[in-house]
Amino acid sequence: MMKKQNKIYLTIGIVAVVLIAAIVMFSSPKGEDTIKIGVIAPLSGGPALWGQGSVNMIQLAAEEINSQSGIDGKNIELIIEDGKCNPNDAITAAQKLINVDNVKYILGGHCSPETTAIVPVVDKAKVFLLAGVTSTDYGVSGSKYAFRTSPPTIDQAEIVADVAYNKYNYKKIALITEEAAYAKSFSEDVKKSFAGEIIEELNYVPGEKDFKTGLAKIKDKNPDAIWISPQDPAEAVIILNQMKELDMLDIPLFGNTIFVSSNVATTSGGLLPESAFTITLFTDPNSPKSKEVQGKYQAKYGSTVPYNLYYISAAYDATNMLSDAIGKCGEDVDCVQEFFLGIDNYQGVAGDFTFKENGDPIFDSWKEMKIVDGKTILE
Amino acid sequence: MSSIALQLLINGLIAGAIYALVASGFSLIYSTNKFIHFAHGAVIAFSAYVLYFLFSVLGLNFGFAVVLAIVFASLLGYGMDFFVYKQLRKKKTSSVILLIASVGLLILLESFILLLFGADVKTIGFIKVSKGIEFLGAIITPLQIFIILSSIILLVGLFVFMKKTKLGKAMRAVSDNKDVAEIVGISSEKIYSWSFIIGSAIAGIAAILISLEQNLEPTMGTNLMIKGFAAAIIGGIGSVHGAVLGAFLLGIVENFGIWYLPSGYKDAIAFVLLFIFLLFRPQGILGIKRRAEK
Repeated sequence: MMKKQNKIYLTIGIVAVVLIAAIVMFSSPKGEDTIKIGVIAPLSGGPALWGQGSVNMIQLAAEEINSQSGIDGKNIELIIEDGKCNPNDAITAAQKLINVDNVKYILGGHCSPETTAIVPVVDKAKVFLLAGVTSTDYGVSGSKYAFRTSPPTIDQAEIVADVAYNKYNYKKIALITEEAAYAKSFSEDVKKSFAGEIIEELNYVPGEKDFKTGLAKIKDKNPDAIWISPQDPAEAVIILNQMKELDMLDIPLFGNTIFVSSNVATTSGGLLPESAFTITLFTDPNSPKSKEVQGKYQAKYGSTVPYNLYYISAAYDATNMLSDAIGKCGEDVDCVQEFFLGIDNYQGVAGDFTFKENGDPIFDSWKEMKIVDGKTILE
Repeated sequence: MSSIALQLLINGLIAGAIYALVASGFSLIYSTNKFIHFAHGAVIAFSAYVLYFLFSVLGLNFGFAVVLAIVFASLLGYGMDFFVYKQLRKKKTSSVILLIASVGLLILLESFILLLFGADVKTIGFIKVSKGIEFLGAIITPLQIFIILSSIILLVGLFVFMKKTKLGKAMRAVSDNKDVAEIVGISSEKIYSWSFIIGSAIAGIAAILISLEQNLEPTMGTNLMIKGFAAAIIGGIGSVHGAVLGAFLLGIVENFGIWYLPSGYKDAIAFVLLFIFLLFRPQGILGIKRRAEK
């Protein structure tokens, strides 16, 4: 009796193995005529604003490459995952891309919390990563295979601190910071670079809804200005609401590019003061290249570029640079890494790209930005 | 300086009132059913989204949308009891299983919200944000006054309901001793259903006020439940007006605490308070110390 049962199990086992082998054999040739590139970006929640924009740009660039006979005749196949601007979801997405889809290249994350979380994962798996919209100091440095198109916040913070102290004469400031990768890192850098005095700090966890007592504390100390560094625009809007309720909006504000953005200005119902400034990465919207890509974006998606033009256009450049690298190196990840170190003034849409040894781009096109009448004003 | 103390007290009362709105319904359900109904948070979240849908998407009259949202909350609570908890009770399952089922319902409903409405933050936008009213140097908005008043009315109302009405008395009887209550002719199953209907209606009221004061997110239920649950334990689990008092204590301690400590420690302060109660007064503020049964 037992023997008969064993035979049945054996038969089932053999059939299963043969079936799996057949599936693998018949499906693999199909996989080989495309080049798989993983994409991780926030596609839900507030951060989807730039995540979706970046993904749109990547798709636009990939379609163009594919229509011009692809990379060595092979089409690019994008596998897009939602990292939700959240470390846990980003790691799950990266592991799926690496272990299930077997990708060798990932464009992403497109948000600092995503990128900082997945860099160790890709490094271990020897997968090449090119991140966007990622500017924490510890974003990619120290990793061999991780590069990014965004300059680190310390560069930006030095200019923020300088403009606040010297141009606007803010000597005593208070800081409001979300405890999340980009927001926190940016505030730390402003703290390091600011020549004046920091008289109060309000740190909050993601998802906080009640800032009233923290704001009352700041109001009590009479700062010259308040620096606000949110990660999620939703909390920035609540902070503005409660500042309005507590009659604090006469205090000058400055903040990161999530805070001083047309998104926050609109969703808060115009509560963002027109005097609030940030320092932003600048791409000339009127350069012929940028105009062309913006036109294509508008034609394909029926909307204008939704977030900072540099960050979103950089996704287009990232796709093209990566496709050039794959064209030269194929599956050889070390060769792609060297290719990126060798890039010298690549004339992209967002700007010119040259990468440092640690994977950061060299960047010097900063502008002061304000939102006046719902429009972006650059100085 | 005293105006600051008053401002902190007011901020504490506002936070406390929000916790109280969550904790009172939850505590009412616990008092008769004797298990922790975590999905109460999801009832709040779902009702808030129903209000959003009726008012902001369909453009219904606000008052009408509010009534529908409260009715919806009641039905949702009743439905959970009828389709899930009652079926489990029939199988004589322990309260631990019911607790796990409630966590399952919480996750299920949050996922439903995510599916139907998406993850991005929604605002009801019924009240325009404006400067609050100044009161002895402290500032409070009309909505916040309304929230505090609602929770105080709820405290008094529930007290009267439990002491004076027939249904309230029956609830207390079931809460005290289910078997004896059955002997005198009170159907415990009926009382379970009623406590879900009334407790969830309170969740509906909470949903409306909270969604006006804060914004809507699919996971708002879990976040509210964490503080609401802590408040219920501090107040004395199973005691409805105790839960309201616990909520106010929690809100006030949190807000005075972060005046002296960095703001990031707000949740830590709340849970230290919870631990202090669990260690030194586990029956809560109004809970009665029971003799170990048998």
